[in-house]
Amino acid sequence: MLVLTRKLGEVIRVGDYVTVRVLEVKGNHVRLGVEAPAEVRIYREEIYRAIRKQNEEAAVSRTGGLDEATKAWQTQRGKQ
Amino acid sequence: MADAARKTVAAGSDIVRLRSERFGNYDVPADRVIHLPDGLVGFPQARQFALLEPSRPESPFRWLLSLDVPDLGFVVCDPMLLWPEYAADLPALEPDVAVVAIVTVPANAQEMTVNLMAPLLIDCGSRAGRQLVLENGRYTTQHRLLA
Repeated sequence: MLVLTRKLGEVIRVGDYVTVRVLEVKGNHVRLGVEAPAEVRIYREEIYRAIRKQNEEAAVSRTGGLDEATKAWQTQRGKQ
Repeated sequence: MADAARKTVAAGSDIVRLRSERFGNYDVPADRVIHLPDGLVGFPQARQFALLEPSRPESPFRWLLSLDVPDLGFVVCDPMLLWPEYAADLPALEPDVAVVAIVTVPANAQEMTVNLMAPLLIDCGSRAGRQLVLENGRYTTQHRLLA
């Protein structure tokens, strides 16, 4: 891992198009400003992991998933 | 390889043939094929999908089947049919943008959940889409769909 030390207001550049600026340091919180082209997706790590995990779980749904979902939904609708 | 047979565009037609051992065979009109340039989160290699018709008339559910990755498919739903207020929490949408949300169907379908935190936005004109992340704190990746 590359480790760099930066002061408040200083910048790290990743490649030609992405910059990360230290905006504020307060206790154990660091505010960062990321500038990147629109096509570069930027996530907080824990959010990225949660979405990836959910996509993976959804993808392993069994072949019958669509029919089962439709039936369960119709059954509940019929009760209402 | 089955994979190679999966996506063949019949000459002179606008039909994409999808051959899947898991999901069966579909002839998909080319205008039902959508392109996700970034793929789905966790599936960067899956970029072309067929968004099929709803499972039944009035059903909110349909298949989103990968044309790139063998036997990768998702049940998706129209979140606005289930949560009408959801539209107000999305960023201002262009007029011709469709929203679908990915459904996770466990062994007991009664417990299925919808990922409202990361819906897919699809531009109906260009048929290009992306998985958006809503970070307003109101939505999670697992909303129970049925009571």
